[in-house]
Amino acid sequence: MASGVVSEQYRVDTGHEDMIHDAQMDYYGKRLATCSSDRTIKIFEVVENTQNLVATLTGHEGPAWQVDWAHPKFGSILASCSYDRKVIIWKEVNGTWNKIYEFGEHKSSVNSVQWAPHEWGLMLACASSDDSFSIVYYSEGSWKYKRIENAHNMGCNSVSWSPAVNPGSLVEGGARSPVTAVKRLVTGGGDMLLKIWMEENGEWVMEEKLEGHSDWVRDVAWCPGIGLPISRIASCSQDCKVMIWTKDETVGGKWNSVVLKTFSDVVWHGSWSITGDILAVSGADNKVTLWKESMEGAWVCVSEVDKGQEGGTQQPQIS
Amino acid sequence: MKVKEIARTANVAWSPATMQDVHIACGTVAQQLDATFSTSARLEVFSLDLASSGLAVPLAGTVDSPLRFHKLAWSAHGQEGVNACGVIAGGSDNGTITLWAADKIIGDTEGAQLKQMIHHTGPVRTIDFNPFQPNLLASGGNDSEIFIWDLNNPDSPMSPGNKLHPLEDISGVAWNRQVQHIIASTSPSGKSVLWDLRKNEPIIQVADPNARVHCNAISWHPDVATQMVTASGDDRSPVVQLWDLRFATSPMRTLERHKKGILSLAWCPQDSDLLLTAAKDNLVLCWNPNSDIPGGEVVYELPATSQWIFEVHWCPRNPSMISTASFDGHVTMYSLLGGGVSAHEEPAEQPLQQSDDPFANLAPKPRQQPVETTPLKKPPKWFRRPCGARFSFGGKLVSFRHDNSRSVRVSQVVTEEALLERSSSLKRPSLNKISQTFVPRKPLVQPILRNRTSGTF
Repeated sequence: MASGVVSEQYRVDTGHEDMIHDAQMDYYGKRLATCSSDRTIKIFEVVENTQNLVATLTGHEGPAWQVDWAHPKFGSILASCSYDRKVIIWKEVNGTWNKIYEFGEHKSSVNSVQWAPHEWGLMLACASSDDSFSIVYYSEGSWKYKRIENAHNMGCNSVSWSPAVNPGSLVEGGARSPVTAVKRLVTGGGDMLLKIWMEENGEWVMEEKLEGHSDWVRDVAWCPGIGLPISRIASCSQDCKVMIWTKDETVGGKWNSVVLKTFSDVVWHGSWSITGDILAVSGADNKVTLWKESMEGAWVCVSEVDKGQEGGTQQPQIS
Repeated sequence: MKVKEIARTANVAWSPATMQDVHIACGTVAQQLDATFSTSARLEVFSLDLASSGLAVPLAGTVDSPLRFHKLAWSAHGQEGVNACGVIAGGSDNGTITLWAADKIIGDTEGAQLKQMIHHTGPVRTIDFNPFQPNLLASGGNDSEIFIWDLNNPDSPMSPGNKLHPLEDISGVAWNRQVQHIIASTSPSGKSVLWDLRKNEPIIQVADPNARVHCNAISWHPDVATQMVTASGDDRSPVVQLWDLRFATSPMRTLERHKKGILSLAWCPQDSDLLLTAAKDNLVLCWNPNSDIPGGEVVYELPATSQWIFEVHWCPRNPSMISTASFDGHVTMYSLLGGGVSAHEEPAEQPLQQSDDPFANLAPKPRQQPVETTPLKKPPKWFRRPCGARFSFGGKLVSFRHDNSRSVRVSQVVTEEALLERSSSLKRPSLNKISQTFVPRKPLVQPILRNRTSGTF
């Protein structure tokens, strides 16, 4: 059983005036973007344990819920979504950050935003409390969008793209192209469901409906793939459970679920590591726990982030 | 925005939060007459099927009731077993409180009515279930009668203490949301009394000497044990008063916006910054009772209707849904988050039931079209994510949590100790010599690292 070591490196004092709702590093881990109920997004340069506030982005008229960095091949682009029903796309040009697009078609709070895998272009998905989610993309010189209505009753809370890697491409060798042409994403809603959507002939249709939670689905996260024939999604819910949904192409391709754990309080957020082997779960009890799948297929808690920082775990000596 | 609508003039109770499928119970309202002078009454349970679009709500079950209702309440009591859905209690005239098994109504089986408890001398105007012990029911009636019933032993109710003189009608009872043995009652004279059930006596009496309040409703703060609100039905001073019982000589805050007496109030159990009131000026307002703006801060105003709304409730299961019951013959469910039915979709008129007021058909009242109103200015508490963690390149974990520091922590996560050993062995040889013994063994990790550090693909 792998043991985990979490050691705090440093803290960034954001200077936000209200609750922070999201924090994300860019692709290289050099910059950090945070967003807050104070309606601003702050960008810090974090290199070698120093931090430097580079920009404070204003423009949202309500608490900003989530930020997401686009792939660096498109430049320095950041998307943010907010309670004010808007998604704003920001770009850094010569050191200054500007708003390059504002998407305001939703009728209610936009709760989640995520850029699609870069292989599919400059495209993002956003989920809103008005029961719909939208795909916003840049093509032929302008921003376009597609809105998918009535996705979930009681609001869409979260959206996550599938990886662009074709499941099974790693083991099949050159037989299949590694990049899949079919775009998929998963959404989680207040109707306690997860829904998997795919793009078919230019339209988005629901491919699958996953039931299992008994309260609002707060967050969904599609595990990054490396080409193994397994698709995996983590979902966090108001019912205090985290569920892992796995689809194994080699055994029939149906989604099976397992409960990772029933926590003592609402689980708000789940995030996979870059290689997809560790899941970080954050809950209302203000704790962050890390989980890994053991050889037997059960999920074990590898570490608790707070304990690592306050107690002081064994740090390997690197001379 | 309006989500669903039921064509009934009824008192309403939502299914408890522990029940997975949301249902709403509607019982015919007492003191409302129709042209046939019918006194028939029904208790109907509707299932809130949000998957279907449109305003109609499917009926799950119905049972005839001997008496019409002043108040309904639904408790999770007795929720073991496969189909247990709890108990619905209704307070009626003639001092009667009737209990029904909710699962029998929904399943349409016999024997739904469990018991009739007759102890009060006059109409039972208010009932409330204890949030900690769902088998305890409090009821208030005439002559300062308050009874506490244990549903496991409903034949002998207890009283919370000696009655205070002068005797008066009890217009509202409410159990404290934090302390299970405290209950408050209020009366039209403006006096509210707090009872301690362990000592079996009243502990404090509050009344505002300055305002002329005719207290219609009382409710406790969902989080703070010593705070409560009372609402006045008096048209001359239709105020909501927020009391902190540690300083009980005068109200802590007064919310004044309604032009006519308030008929009902409801405090959101999931977010104490949301308080709904419905008044005789046809308005339903949502307040933030904790803000210091003088006169009270209204965060949302429901679209105006043509008749009084006499009951508002929050859905315990789904905090963004509220229900309003109006004298215009409709029970309407709204979602405070947007979404729902657009203003243009109105359902075909449903065939009338005999308990509906036929006067309503003679002159069709102009029901005001719902207007697009802006959602709540500040998002409710159940929206705001307090804590999160995201992985980043190089095994770094960025995490944040809800504390006053407003800081973000960046941590290093390593789970493969063997890998760590090997990476540390890389650093040990001196820089001049490249170690011959180091053989790359983990092909998967290396390509990613190489690409990232060079910044190219």
